[in-house]
Amino acid sequence: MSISTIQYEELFRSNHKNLCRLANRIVNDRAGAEDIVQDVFLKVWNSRDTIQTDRPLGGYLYTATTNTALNYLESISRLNKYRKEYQPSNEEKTSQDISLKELQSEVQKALDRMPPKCKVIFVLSRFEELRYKQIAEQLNISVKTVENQMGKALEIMREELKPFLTREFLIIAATAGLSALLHFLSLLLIILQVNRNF
Amino acid sequence: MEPKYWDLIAKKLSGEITAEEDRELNSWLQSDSNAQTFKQVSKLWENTEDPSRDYTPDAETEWQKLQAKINQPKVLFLKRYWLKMAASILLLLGLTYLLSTLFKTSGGATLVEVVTTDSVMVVYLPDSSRVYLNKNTTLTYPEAFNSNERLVFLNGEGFFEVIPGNVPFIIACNGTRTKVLGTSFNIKGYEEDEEVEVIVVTGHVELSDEDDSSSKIVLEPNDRGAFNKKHSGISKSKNTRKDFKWWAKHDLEKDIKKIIRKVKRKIK
Repeated sequence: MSISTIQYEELFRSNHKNLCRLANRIVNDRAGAEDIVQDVFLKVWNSRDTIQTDRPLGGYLYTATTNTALNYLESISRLNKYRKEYQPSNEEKTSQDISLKELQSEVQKALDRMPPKCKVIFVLSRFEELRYKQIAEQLNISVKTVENQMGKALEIMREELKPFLTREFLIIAATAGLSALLHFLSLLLIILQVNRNF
Repeated sequence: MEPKYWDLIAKKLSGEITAEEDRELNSWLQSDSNAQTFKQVSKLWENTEDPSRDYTPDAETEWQKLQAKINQPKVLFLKRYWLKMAASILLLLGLTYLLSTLFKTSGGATLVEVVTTDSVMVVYLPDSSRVYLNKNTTLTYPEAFNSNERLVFLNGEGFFEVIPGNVPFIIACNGTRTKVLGTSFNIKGYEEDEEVEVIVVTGHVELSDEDDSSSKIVLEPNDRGAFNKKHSGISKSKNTRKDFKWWAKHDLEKDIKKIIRKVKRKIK
């Protein structure tokens, strides 16, 4: 069974939007997402004579897009390793109050810095709202791996955004330090007084 | 913090947690610092924003682009294929030319390269001249000398005993040219040395800068000529080193002793 030109166009038009949105969630780059989907459809066209049409092609397209996007992320992260791009440190912002919008953009940045596979799993769970089992099937890995990678994603995210999260703690710590110092000074004064009296 | 609890938090937030796991997580949350961590992570989870929330790709433009790619892939492939073929043939030709010019100096003769590492060696050149090569030295010479010069390349130290001939014998060594007709002398010029040193034993030797043949000196027996690589300056002085040829004899003596011992054994 092969795909006719009409079937092909129908396949494109009915899936294009969702696949672009899926790819964009993974790579967070709209132009990149559109290129990825073009690649997927080109692959379908080139194998149109051998492709199995007895099953709906939606699942195949979904998997192909996920994997192509993952490869894209991996090649980019390899490139960035060579360039050694340094992200400005979050440390500077600790003293300021950040808005919700800023926090969201920081979270997205942390997501973009995650290892590709970890990020894809997180995105599929969080935004595509797939079950762990579905993610495992999609990426051909075990459910246990999905669990571990999800936990790892949270750990990385918390680690990266610690400066924003522990602000309150810092203030408490600073106050505690100051009061300890005052305490010490007053003790010192008392001792001096006592000495002078003798 | 144990990775297990990260996994449990992730399960809780994504709705994958089982009743039993939920109980385990709850007991872990009894500690204040754990509860704080959980609060922080939940806040982050809530603040992840879907990058595709207000994204609607332009399907029409993308379809046109795809059509353009689909309708001419064969031609593109052919063009690229021929381009690649042409490029590799050109590359091959270029490489062949480069290699042939590199290895065929001195009138197209093949070059011989002798390399010593941790022992001294004696080399006989095509004109029967003899060269002792010190350790870590490279000597390159043509399989047959051409009719107007006997040119060899030295990197390291060598003691030359040049057979007299009608054409000059030239040693190119790290920026210098040493020109002779027939004599014996020592040249020391390792790549890492600051200077190239020539000490003459018999006959006359002409030492010159490779790039500037007007800058030259003539050395006589027991003269020491030196070429400073940094300043490209040539100087001449009397040789004070008596042991300059020692390295060449030293190993040979050992070899000769070995041979004598072997011969003695045979005679017995």
